[in-house]
Amino acid sequence: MHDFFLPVGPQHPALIEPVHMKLRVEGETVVSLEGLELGYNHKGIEKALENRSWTKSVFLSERVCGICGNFHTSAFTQGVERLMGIEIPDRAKHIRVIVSELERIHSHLLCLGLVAHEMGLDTLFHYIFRDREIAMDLLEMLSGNRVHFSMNTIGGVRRDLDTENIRKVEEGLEKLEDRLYHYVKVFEKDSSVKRRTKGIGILSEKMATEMDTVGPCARASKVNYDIRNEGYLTYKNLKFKPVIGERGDVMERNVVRFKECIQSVKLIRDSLFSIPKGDIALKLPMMIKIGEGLETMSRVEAPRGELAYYVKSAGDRPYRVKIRTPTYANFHMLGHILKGYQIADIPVIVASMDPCMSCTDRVTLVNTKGKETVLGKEDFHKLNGGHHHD
Amino acid sequence: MKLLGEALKRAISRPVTRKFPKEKPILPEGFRGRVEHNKETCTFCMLCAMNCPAAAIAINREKKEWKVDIGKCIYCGKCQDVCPTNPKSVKLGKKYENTDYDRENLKTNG
Repeated sequence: MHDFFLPVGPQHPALIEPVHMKLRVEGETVVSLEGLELGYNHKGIEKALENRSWTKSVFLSERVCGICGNFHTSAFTQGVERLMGIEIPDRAKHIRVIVSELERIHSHLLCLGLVAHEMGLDTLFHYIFRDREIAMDLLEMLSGNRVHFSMNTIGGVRRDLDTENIRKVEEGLEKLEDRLYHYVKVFEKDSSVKRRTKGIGILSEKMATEMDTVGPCARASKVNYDIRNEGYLTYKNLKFKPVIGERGDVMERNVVRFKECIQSVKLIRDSLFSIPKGDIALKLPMMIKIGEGLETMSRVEAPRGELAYYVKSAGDRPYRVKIRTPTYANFHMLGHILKGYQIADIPVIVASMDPCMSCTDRVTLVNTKGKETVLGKEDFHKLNGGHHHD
Repeated sequence: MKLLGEALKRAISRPVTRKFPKEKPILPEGFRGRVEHNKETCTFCMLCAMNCPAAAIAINREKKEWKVDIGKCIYCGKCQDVCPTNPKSVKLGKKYENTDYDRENLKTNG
């Protein structure tokens, strides 16, 4: 049988994200992923961050992603605060955790809704998106905006919670929790969901470690890799334990995401219960100055995995900001989870990886002519900022 | 049987979505909408224009002119935070339908 190339994307009815994949197929079976083209969403934010003051760059860093913007500001402000050598008030830490976990819920539900849509179960998609709206409404109430919350600032947060807010968040969480337990049952037991997801797109633990996979994709393959383990913000006091899956297929990745949402609900409840009184932000001068040449690496656990910010100071503004987004790290394993499965499975597998191109497109290739290069394991480690799984 | 129960429940319950143009959404307290400016209390101190991350605010101190480009505004509310007057001269209101066919119409006095 002849094998031939199947181009998928950047505009494709089954893939929402602008990414171009070159697949070698044999009949209906995917043999290998030959090429991956990114960069259709390149915005040049890293460069733009270099000529803004510190306080203004926080707002720009939020615009990297429309789904997990708050995590970007969390990582960026955490880095800047580390450079300044300041510790934010406890109340601000609690509010950051509450907003982050609410955002994780809505991001995971968005991904899972899209997986349901790719499976052809549009009713399920609508149900999940209806319940996602609960989290969105709570975030709108807390921050004043549905998408870009602008909650974080250098030295704390910008808005406080009152007792009315806390009551409403608790009410919303109760509704959400019921639904989330229901969806775990649907994704584990329902026969039509099972047929599309069970045993599809398997990522072994060894491959996940070798390819530096992060986030729910890694945790569904038994890899205990979660930045929240390190206990930044208040995760240490919340006694955080990551959700770990066993099988590493599409179904496991979905179930891990739902279980993480349930865990987020609990984390928010604990934070609301233990929130201390006090200031929400430190009083800092309008023009922040940081010693020239100081540099730091700041990491947070975004919904899709580890998000890393490298920040170097040039006095009153950043000298260089490098953003390593989770989807970028996860693309390395995409070829392995597509291999050997049907063409019809491609959308489900890619959606279960939860790619976010808006985050990922940091790089544009200017010189594409010349010799082909093959990247090995060591190169991946280098590209990933040199981190190895323990 | 379970399916039938769900179907009957949905048949009599009201839809989750709103009929938007007729039915307006309920906005929460502290919603960040279109920028509003109060000319009476404003001291034209330039703080909002200096702190705006999108450089959407332009002020002419001699002519006592305050202008905002809604097309550039990112609705972050920084101008409201830094405004020194009491009550605030610049604040984010509740207007959310901020589109127009012409960019020039988006440049307003707030």
